Amino acid sequence: MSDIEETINRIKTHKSVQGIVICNNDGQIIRSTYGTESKEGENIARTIPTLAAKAKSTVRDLDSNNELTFLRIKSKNNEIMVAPDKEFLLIVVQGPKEEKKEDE
Amino acid sequence: MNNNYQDKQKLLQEKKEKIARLKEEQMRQQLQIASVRLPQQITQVEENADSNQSSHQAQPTQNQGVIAPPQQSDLISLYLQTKRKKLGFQTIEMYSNNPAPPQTEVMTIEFGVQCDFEIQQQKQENDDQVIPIMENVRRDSRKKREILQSAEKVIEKVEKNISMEEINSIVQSQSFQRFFSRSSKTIEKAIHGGEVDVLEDLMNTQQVAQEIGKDNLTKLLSFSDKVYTENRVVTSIQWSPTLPNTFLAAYSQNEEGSITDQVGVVLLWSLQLKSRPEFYCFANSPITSACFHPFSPNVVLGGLYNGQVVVWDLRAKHTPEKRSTLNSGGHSYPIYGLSIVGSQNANNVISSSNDGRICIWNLAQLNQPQKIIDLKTKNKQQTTNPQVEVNSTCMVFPQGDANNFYVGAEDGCIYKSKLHQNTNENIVIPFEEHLAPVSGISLNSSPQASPIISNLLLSSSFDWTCKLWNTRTQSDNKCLATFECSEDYVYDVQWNGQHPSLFSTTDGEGYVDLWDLSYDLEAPITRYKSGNNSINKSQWSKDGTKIAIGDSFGEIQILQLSQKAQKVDHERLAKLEQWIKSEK
Repeated sequence: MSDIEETINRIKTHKSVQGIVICNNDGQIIRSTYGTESKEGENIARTIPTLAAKAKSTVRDLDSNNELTFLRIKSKNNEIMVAPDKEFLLIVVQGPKEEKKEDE
Repeated sequence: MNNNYQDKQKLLQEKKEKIARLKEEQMRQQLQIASVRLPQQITQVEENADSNQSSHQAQPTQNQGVIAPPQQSDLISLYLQTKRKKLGFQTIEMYSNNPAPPQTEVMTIEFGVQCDFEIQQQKQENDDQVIPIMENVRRDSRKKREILQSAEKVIEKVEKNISMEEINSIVQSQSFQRFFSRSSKTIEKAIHGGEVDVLEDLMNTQQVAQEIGKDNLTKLLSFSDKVYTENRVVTSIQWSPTLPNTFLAAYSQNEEGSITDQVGVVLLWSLQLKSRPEFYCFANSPITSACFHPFSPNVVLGGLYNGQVVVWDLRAKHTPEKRSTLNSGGHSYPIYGLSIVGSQNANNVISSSNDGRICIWNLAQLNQPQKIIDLKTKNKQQTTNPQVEVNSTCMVFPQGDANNFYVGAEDGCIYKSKLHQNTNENIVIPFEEHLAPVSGISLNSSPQASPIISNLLLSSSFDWTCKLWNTRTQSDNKCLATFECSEDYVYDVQWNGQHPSLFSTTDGEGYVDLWDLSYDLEAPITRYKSGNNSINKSQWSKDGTKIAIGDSFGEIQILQLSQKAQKVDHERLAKLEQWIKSEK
């Protein structure tokens, strides 16, 4: 249990990460760094699972041997990364990419 | 006039009461009406509508006002019934998407007051509520599905606010743990990678950057884990034969750690996941050598300080799946040499320990070795024993060869022997030149190497030198060349897996020396200082562009080889081969 918290913290403290939501396929939030005051977490948990499910089924339709491993939505303001699973989703929202290069 | 007006007022009152009563009845009836019935109602409605439409223009609208909102969705009403005790006309409208009824309702009342009042009453008495619905249905037939769906969603959402206990139990469950460990790694790679695709090789972008640099070796990354690698010596590094950009590193015990620290640790690092290891493997004794199983992608083998051979399955758990026994059958000394020889179908694990014992194991049966070979050599000190054991520190098999092997020993000799020998004695052929224990040996395994070059053996020793041998010529066993540029113990020497004449040596001062035999036999082409710690182990990647070096404090650095150094100069290589041939 604490490993999960540690890992969430580690991801959260990374530069430009705005928030993390872990939810199940029905949209129920299991863990979220957004808190209950802002509706962002709830909105994410409500809308992303359906999109991920659609993406999953599309990948399957195009090639029945294939499956969705990762979903990344880049938008003007931020980037949403979704790691889907049979029952759960790990969603991370990241702000715009920093101009930092990879460590030399 | 007044009378008429009063009468009409009374009638209006009565009408209102009747409407109220009817509403109540309909509320009750809806609970009984199954949603399946709706389509039937609709068809009935349509039939009735066709017949009645012309004569009862007013009535449909009137009755619509009364009946329509409840009809819109049985589910909505059911929900409302269960969740809210009071149901009024108003609340129903709020949950329906159809704006029409309220309007018609208003109209109806006005209508009812002014004309066709009595007919409407009859209609209501007949309990024929189905008829007037058709107009509403036609208008709402498209919206009906949406309403139904939204109603269902409303119900579901309200009913499924899961509790904290449920959440906690989910989090504790196995499937969640597995999901989380897998997906968090993917996400971390994605976060760190930035623009680069999660699954793609970091290499391509890095190589482009390096062409501009002048150095032959540049630092790419460094890996260390606060919990598991502090103060531990890196005892073994191996790149994965199957997974891209992944390598394993075995660590010794943390001398300054607490009792509860894991004693033996093997970590699998991925170049893309920089913050933490990809996998952990633990054992109850310091790990002195570890390697991937070349034919089973999930299997990692380790040789322990106490002489045990252990097998980890990466898919299963962190502790060993199988381990060999500690009784007389196996080793009882640290295992410094571990390799897997053979083919996919018939392979064996060969382990060599410090007391000169070599065991051949079958992975399926680790409780007893298949064969035990005790390497012995002539006793140089003339004591009672004619033969003395070979204290081996490293072992290497030529690629594709499952019989011949070379062992470096603490007496400074390198011994060549065979696994399967005809005679009972174990014949070893020594290469004696080093003055101190041999710390590392390496055989040229470059696919571009000519047969002459692929027989070259390199050995590093604590006598500050590194020697080059030609294994073909066993006549006088003299080394071909000696490389002396280090001023400390040389801990490891490794041929580059791709370039036929490139190799690296690492020493106790933290230097990594890059030698290219086709250029210079006397001096390295680069001396790279990686820090102040002595570098215990090193290993080139499969493609020969990166080298992983592990130091005595648990840090592993990945150095990138420049493009310039990777180029093979064939003319010079041919000259080198000539020279080797002539040195007989």
